[in-house]
Amino acid sequence: MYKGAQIITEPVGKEGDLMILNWGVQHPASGPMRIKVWLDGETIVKVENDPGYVTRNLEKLLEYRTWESAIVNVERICFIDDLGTLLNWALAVEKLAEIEVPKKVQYFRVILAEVGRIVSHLIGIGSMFGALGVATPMMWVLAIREYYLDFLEHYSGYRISTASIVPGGLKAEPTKEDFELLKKAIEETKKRWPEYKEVFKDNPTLVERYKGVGVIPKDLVFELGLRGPVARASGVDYDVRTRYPYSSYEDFDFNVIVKEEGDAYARFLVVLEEIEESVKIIEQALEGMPTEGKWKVRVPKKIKAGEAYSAVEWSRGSMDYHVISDGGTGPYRVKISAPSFMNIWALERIAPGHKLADLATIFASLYICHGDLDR
Amino acid sequence: MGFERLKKLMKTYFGVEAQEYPQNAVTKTYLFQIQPVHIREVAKLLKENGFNFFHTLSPVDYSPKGRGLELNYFFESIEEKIWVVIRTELPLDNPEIDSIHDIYPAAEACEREEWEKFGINFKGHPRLKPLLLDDTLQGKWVQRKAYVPEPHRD
Amino acid sequence: MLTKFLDFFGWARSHSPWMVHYCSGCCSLEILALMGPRFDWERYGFLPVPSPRQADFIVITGLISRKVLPVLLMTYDQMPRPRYVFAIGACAFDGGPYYDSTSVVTNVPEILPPDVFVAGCPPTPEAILDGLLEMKKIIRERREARAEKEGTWREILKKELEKNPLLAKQPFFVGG
Repeated sequence: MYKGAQIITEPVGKEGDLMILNWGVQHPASGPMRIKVWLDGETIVKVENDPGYVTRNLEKLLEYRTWESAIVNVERICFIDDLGTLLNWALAVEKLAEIEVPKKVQYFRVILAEVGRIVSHLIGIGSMFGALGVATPMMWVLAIREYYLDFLEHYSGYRISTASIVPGGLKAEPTKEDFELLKKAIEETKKRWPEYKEVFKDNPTLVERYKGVGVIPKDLVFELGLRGPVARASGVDYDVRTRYPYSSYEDFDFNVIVKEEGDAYARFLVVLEEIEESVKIIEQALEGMPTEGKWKVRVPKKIKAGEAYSAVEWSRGSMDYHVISDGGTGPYRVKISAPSFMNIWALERIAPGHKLADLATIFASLYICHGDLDR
Repeated sequence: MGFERLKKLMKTYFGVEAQEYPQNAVTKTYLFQIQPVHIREVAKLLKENGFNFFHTLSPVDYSPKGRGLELNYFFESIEEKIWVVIRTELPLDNPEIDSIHDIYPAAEACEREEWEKFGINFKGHPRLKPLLLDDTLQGKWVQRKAYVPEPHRD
Repeated sequence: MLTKFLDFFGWARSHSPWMVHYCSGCCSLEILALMGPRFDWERYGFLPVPSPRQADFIVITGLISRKVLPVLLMTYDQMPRPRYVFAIGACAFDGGPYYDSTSVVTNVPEILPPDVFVAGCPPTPEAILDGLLEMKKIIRERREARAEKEGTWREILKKELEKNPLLAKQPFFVGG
């Protein structure tokens, strides 16, 4: 029986001299989310976020899953980069069960997490151009992305819902062909990327629309607890990979991209340049891959009561889980602290004063995934 | 420095000791168990002593275990690389606590979400209104253990 | 004579089926891959279009949450006839991995019955493309969309409009 649901309860219209506009839910650049905009002519006066259009209540659902079957729901926090969320789940459960996985597994997890980051960042760049109505860059990045998805498909059987990282190790043992496909993907990236990067970076359309738009000052990063590329573009050197290394990230040599400007263009550059760093990490991991040890360590069905907190640098920022066990076969409570949920509130602070047309570019540059915003 | 000072002040003002919190896989973390009435003073103290980054607010419903709601606030000091967990307990019927949204603006959205899901009344919060859930789930406090999701059809 | 004339329209439509650029769930990523150079759905004439007014079909990309359901129905309602429904992903059938979540609609086919459904979580682009070609056949044969005769979406939409009469007064809204 249909009981009703909340929809756009406030109608569009006027409020004094201001015009109220619903930006989203059905808007090509917004994704499933509504942004209520108060406009004075073309200028934005006030902005209010209305997320929740992909809410699944994952935190509640996880209480009804076992430690291993929870990966199905955990990886669906956000499909664009499911590997980072899986890695964090594995780390949290291993911390609870006090298990250490072999170095080999940690290295391969790093590879998978970085593949996830590349795949996500490629789409991010494409959609930042997409917000301008420029479609060609999206096609170019999708062409590269397919090579990485080939690797994931061959390794795990699925393109984007891989379920490959499980508590205690990996779901499957990588074969020789997997590594070859990954090497091919990296080769393709390295072949095409210099040209693409040049085109993307100095693209006059993009520079015109992104430079100096939506500046996030450094103070606002601390004030609102912003994470990931958004924080790094404002001069905050916060990357969990180097700050609190997990899963053997301390073994790899890579740069954390930090920009000082804090505008939309800086956020774009951070995302753009992080892809190269991820490629660097994958190459190092492939080279130094240890051979001894097992691919999966046994995790007990029931984990003793306790709690664990873990964080990984996900593609959109630090993804934190607070997992509590009461000695059962599944989690008692999971708190998912998602980066997009923190970053989206910057929009309410920085959008006023801009023109309505800039809302799409600012929103795209905040690099939001609705899946982890709503959970 | 900042954390040592905080430890001393927490001891003198509220009489709480810093406990180790090894469950945090990220880094060195300390836990303070405080009274709910002190949350605003504690938050101000944290802010003054360099704990400028608010991570998350994580309530846990311990009602099947015979306890109330447990609130965990996670803070980080960017300079010192130390985390602090502030833990406090609330009764399950009519849980109320002061909002810290003006001290840590990052907490505003988190408090709003937890109000919607747990029914914790954050006193002084400027907009405790629906955020993520639809109308049919408002007021049901979906994250509490008493709420059991059942298969349904619309 | 008239049938032949209309058949021509069906033939013409089937060669440029446009989709409403509206994504409600994670399976939209595989739609995105379809738009990309490897699968390239434009060679069959498919194109995403921002306005429902110019669209031929709507894609239910997986998850439909309670909050987004009225938006989906409103978008569908604004489309000109013939309007087809194409559903992909397990969530659009019975809730999929969120079968026990109370904020997810688990019986989308009863509300807005799809003409073509592609299973998978998420389905591969090849499978979606196969389904889309099936869709082209339906458009070409000028079959009536299932949602025109079946489904409870009209009642649900009416209830939403009663709750919010200002919305019904909007000039862009037909309420058919």
